[in-house]
Amino acid sequence: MRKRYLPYLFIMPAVIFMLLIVAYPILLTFRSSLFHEVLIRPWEGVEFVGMDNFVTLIKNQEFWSSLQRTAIWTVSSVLGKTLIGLSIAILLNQKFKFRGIYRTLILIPWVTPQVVSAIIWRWVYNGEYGMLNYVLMRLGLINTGISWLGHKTTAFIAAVINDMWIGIPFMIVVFLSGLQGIPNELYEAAKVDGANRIQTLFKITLPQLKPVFLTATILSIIWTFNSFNIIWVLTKGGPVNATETLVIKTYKEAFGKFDIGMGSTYAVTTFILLMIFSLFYWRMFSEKDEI
Amino acid sequence: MMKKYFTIGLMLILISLITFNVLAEDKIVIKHMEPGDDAKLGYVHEFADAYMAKNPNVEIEIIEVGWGNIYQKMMSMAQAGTMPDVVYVGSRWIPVLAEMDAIQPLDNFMTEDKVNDYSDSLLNTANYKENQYGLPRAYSTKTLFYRTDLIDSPPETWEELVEVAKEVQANNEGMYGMGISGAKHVSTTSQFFNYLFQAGGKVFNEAGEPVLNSEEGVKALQFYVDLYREHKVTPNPVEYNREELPTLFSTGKIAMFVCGPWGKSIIGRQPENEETPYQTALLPKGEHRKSILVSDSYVMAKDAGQEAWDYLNYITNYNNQTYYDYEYGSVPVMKEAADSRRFQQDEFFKTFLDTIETGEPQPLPIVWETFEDILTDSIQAALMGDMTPQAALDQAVERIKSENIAPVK
Repeated sequence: MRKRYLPYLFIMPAVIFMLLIVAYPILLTFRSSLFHEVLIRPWEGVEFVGMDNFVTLIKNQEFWSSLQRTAIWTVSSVLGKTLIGLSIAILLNQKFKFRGIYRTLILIPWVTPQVVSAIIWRWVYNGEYGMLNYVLMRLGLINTGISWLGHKTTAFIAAVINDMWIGIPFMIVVFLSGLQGIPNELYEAAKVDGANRIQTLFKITLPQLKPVFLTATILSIIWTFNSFNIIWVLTKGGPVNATETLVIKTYKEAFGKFDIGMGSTYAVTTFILLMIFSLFYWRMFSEKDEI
Repeated sequence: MMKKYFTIGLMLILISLITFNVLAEDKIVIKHMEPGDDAKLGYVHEFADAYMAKNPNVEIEIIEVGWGNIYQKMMSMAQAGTMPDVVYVGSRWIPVLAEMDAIQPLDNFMTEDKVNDYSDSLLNTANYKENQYGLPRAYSTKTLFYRTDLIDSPPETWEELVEVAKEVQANNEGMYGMGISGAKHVSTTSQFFNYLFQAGGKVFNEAGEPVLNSEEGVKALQFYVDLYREHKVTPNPVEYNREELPTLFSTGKIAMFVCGPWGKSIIGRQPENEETPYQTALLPKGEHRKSILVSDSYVMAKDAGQEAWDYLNYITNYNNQTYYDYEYGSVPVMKEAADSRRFQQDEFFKTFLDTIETGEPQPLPIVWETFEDILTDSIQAALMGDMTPQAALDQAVERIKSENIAPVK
């Protein structure tokens, strides 16, 4: 009897911690989304409005633009992180001198605080004395400096690149651990069968990486979807609203207007969207795996 | 025997520790939240230390916070009912704090002498619904900073501003004639308001309705946009807030920009700055000679009492205020100081003082942050050519109305 309950006892502190720190605030946010509550307008009071906030949200064109922007932001950034991360992981999995040093150095963007990284990139992108313009001008690719953060498209791309730069090391580390887990016998057998490098990559490496790939990309999608610091420091969602993703919009509602009801509605919508997407994504890959 | 002495000694130590603790707990603790850089915070600590030396029963707890975080932190504290006793705020935040009932009017604390220390126009910047919620601490008028080695005489009108900017740009490769800001930042609104007021426009009319999209407003935004798009005399404004313009200036990227007196702490004065000699001039005239007046103020939490006021009264007394103004680089807040020889004979400060009489106070919508977001969106849309100035300002007015943030009269 004692043995049966012992494991539960051990995980109890963690469960209590998670309930208090994660579940309770989430439930509170769900509850707030059903109320009209604007903290800076205390005279309007707190009123239960049911699904009204969600109706307002769905009717709001800004929400749909923001959602579309967030989707493009997430897909482009995660795609970049995955492709570059996988390529570098495959390279770092080869045997060469000082491999350990490279593997350590590659972690720098990941361990740099995001705000610091965004401030550095702001300088890199600066139109007048930024390093990017300096390099491009030295290479003769441009004649005059480009104001990267001063135009809608370039600001969006610049923010994506910054986000990729931070996220790539995580992908490398995860993919590298996945690559190291692939039995060498499989490669040897492929070699005996006369498979070339491309065939080996697509028939052995990538299929074997699938579980790792699934976890890494889903985590990356959630983090990128909710990425706030980089955009806020680089552009605050501008120019105009070119980089205003859902999380920026949520922040502005909740901590700019202090409209807790609408802010929570945005947060809950993001939560539900990500939850549905994650389940769908997981299922899609798992099913394929079974086939 | 030894054991007995030891026990008595131990008890004495314990008793003294408890007594000390009780005494320490008897101290009146005043929490003071202050945003700013190290130099500014240095003065705050200096005043607090001096006050504590004079009042040993008082302990001042300084909560330091960056300008980028103070709004969120202050609002969270206000909601949680833990607003510090004394807080340094941008006066633009006073309406929302007053509406949230987080701060209290200071009228009952302020003596007639204290009121008379300040000009009415300055007190008005921290007055909401006929109540004096803020005690002005820093005051900034705006002047035109220009390179004296490149510009013989500063421009007097909008037309001259464009001419001079073009000329200096033509003669100096890699340098823009002017710098303006268009980033998502409070300074974009205040930079634009200079031109708005000069054109004869207003943000809100007497009834508190937004009237930014008046003929004058459109003319002002058109001029602001033209500096970038038509005349091409400024680097892309969308990328810069005003706080970054002094750096562009000191690195020789722009020859003119509009800024408050604190600009000198970034650019430096001779002899430390020999590369970019400069002077300040009154802002060029549109229809009128106008500039925006912006103030920062001290506010007191709703529950703060006489002790907090005594401390606030001390740090804002004539000597401390004037010392702070001069050393830190702020337009003198008190009337008497503004007339004093110390400021009047300082060539740099004099222009800022001369600007006071042309000043228009910053508008006070109920929720500044939303107002700023709406307006910077519209200014950016016009600067990027997505919208005409008329359409951009029409949109801003509509959004201000729908958000219901016009000042309450």
